[in-house]
Amino acid sequence: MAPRPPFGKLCLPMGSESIAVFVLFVLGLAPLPILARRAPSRREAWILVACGIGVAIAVLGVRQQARVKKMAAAVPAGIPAEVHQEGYVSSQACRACHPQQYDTWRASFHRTMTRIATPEYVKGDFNHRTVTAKGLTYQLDRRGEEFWVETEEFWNPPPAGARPQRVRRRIALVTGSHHMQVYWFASGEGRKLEQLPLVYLFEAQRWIPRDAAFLKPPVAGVRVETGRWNDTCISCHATRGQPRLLDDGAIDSRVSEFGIACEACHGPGEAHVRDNQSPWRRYAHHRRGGRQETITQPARLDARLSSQVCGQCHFVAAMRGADFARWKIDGSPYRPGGELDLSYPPVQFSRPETVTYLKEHLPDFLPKRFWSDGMVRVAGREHNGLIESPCFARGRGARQLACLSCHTMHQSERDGRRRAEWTDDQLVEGMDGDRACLQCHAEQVREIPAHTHHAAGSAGSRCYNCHMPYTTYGLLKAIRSHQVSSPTAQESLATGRPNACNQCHLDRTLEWTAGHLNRWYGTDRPRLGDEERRVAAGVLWTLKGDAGQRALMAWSMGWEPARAAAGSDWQAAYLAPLLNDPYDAVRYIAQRSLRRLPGFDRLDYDFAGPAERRQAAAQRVMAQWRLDPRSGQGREALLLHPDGRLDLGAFLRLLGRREDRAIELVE
Amino acid sequence: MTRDEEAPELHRAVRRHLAAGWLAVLLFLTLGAVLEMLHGYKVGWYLDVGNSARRLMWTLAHAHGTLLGMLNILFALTVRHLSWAGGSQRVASAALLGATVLLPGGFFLGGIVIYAGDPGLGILLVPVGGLGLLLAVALTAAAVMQAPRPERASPPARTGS
Repeated sequence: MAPRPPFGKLCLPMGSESIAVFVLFVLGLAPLPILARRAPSRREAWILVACGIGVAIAVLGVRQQARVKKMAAAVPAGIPAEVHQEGYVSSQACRACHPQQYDTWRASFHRTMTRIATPEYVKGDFNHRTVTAKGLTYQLDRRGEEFWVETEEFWNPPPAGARPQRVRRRIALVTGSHHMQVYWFASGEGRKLEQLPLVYLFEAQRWIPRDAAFLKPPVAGVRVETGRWNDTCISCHATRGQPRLLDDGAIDSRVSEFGIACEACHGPGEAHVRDNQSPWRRYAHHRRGGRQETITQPARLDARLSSQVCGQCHFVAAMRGADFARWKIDGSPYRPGGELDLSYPPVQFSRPETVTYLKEHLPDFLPKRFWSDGMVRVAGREHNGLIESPCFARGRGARQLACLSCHTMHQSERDGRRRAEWTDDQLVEGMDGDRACLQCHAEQVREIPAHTHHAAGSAGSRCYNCHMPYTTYGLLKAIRSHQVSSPTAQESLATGRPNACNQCHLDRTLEWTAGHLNRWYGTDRPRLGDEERRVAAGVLWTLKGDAGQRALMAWSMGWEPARAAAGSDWQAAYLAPLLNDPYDAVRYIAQRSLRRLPGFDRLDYDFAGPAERRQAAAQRVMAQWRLDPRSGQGREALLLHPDGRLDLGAFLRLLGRREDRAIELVE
Repeated sequence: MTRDEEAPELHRAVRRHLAAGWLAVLLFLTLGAVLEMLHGYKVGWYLDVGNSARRLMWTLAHAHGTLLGMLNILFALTVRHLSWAGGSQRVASAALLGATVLLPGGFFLGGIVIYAGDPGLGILLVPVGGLGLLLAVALTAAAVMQAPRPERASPPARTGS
């Protein structure tokens, strides 16, 4: 099947050019009646009119052909092909009948997960920018509607001693969401894509090395990611992606549509479109309430199946070798409405059969994605968390938690929020608060302060903050866990995962938390070591923790409820060493949190700059912090002397025991 | 029918279509003003993307109603100009009046209750009205074509200077 241009066949945009052609067409026909009147006979007049109409239609046809050719030329060569097959028809076919759903999807970040690099989608600065990172210089330019990069051929390094060749490549695809964009260009080998080792960060409005955007062990040079889109991103950044990594090494990737479009959640739409072609059938469906067998409607599936629709991408799959061999050719066999388990079951530590193979054959796989007790540690894998939650596992019928209990893929017209507000998390209106939980736990409404032991309306009284704390990492921030749970000191002791209490009360010890949980809820007190009894949990995780824990703590120190609960006059001392952390992501989060603290909003610091400048910035922060007056009375857990000075010896001893095991979190 | 008998019928037809035309223009220009107001106040029931079918239907009702009103006026002038009377005129007149009600009326009713991208069942009036309009226009065009052509005045004889 031939690749098609990225524009729908049915809905060509009616731009000003089209209107101009139409006006010319009408003006061209206008003199015909006058000419016809001057014709010697009626027959010749009709012939004249027919000829005129014929010429006008021919002109319009030629114009249309030129437009189609221009659109086809907008598609760069050597990229995965957009092909309609297996009953997939693209979102353009849905638009006419479902305008509201199309419009809300179009506004969502699902759509822009991968697009062809056009001015509409590219947000990076390509205005004759020169960027240097990790020893390479990139010249980024825009030429008309196209975006280009000139750089050394890093993916094909020359023999030792030879000068790398500088090459120019047209940016072909852009992948990204509301935080950053990643750019791809054709490698020149089949449909294999090469990744630009730069990421454009929206928040900072700057280019950063791609590695710096993810939590990965630092390396000196550029990590080459040839073919990454074809062998990884394609499964969830496009609709019905087929990697087609062929046995001879060739790559012939195909997608039904770039981005996560209608058919990713509703299944292939060809039969549905055909069934609804006739207006009589459509009205018959309307009279029956709109239920149709020819398409999957996730909102009408039960909680388990509807959540699997989201889960097909938002999960860690328990794939075996044979599964991967199949996947790398045909992609996922899962279709919305079907059983995800029959394709690839999600990893669940409560189902040992889903983890045994991974533990034996891929020992690094689970630690890059899960805490040691099986709770998800990285963003974008919410399905694994959901299905291990008691609200899902023990819920039944309408009281079973599903993704759609809180999220909606189409903003309701009754929703009073601005579109941008909805697109951030695609939550149902009101589900950013306690209503999300109270829709099932209604009996708790009157008991909230008694249950939480926090003032009603305070951050400590919010259901989310205790039962879905920010313990997953991704997109340079902490993100709420989607495994509903109750906080314990034991979980922190056993896994190193911050518990909800100490993530807010950063200045308190694990013993303090264990004592309160025991008094309030009867939770068992774990046997704690000397450090856990004396030093604040937030301090321990910040100084001694691994890169993932440090990232979470760096984020928490900038989190408003944590600053309200734990004060904001001590965090700078702990964020300062993180400004020179080995991990780019930790440094980035630390500087962001530091800038939110009083007096540090104008911090002169570049997280991607040279180490000596970062060190100097950290020393300046410490020097400024020392000048600020504070009391250290009763704050021994923060390693503060009574006069407010830092116990530098204890501080450095803990810092010297930092967990420097290389860690990568695969979000 | 003699010319004396035709005169009152002609007069009635002209008056009927002039009245229908101007009333339709008045009614559907008023509808246009209402639609402008809905735009002005950004009424979601009319402007939201999910209600695009309603917006389209009512825009079509406004446009078709106004144009059909003007067509009625043109029809009246044509009837008077050609002194067109008889069976075909009566059929064309009825078809045009029917179209003037059914076409914009169908669009308007179709926009009251909508099903996502589909209009309500009132839209079924539109094809009936469309056929009526087609019939009226065809009969009128035929009447115009059959009307005797005015004789061309012979050019003045050239004289030598």
